[in-house]
Amino acid sequence: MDNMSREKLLLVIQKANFAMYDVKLYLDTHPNCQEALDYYRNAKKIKKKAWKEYTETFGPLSAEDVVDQDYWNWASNPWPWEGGKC
Amino acid sequence: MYSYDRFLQYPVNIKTRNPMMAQVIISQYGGADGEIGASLRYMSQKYAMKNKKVAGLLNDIATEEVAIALYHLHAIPLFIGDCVYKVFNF
Repeated sequence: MDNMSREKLLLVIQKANFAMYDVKLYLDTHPNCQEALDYYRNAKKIKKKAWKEYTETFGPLSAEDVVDQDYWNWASNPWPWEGGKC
Repeated sequence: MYSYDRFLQYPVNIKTRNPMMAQVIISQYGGADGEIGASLRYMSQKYAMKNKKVAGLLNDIATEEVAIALYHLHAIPLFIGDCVYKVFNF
């Protein structure tokens, strides 16, 4: 996952995120399914790793991840709707 | 309860212009059959469920529908912007 371009890294996050959403719906009605739980854990692991790397390299994806410093960069970084493909 | 993450749920990458497609997506967006309407219905209906698992499922599906509706809200301007750009060659 090192040195991935921003778009590629974001795609990893988007995929893992969606996988988590999907299996969450299944787990809601099948709470004891070990295979689904493993799938969820795996997707979460991938997402966490990619998320951490994205945040460290390109900036916060959630307002909670804004680094404690003298400058609030949350609103000044590019927004997804500005066509920056983020 | 709900939080905003700074990325589109699915990437938007317009390759070929299609203003008709933008029109279709906009027409599906609101109203009784739109995603927001569906989401609010599920959100309300979960209270009527005796089965706790189904109630939870409705909650999570409703959340997902809201996310998709808002995704469309974010993506449509990109479709139009990209399409208009290519049609008129600004």
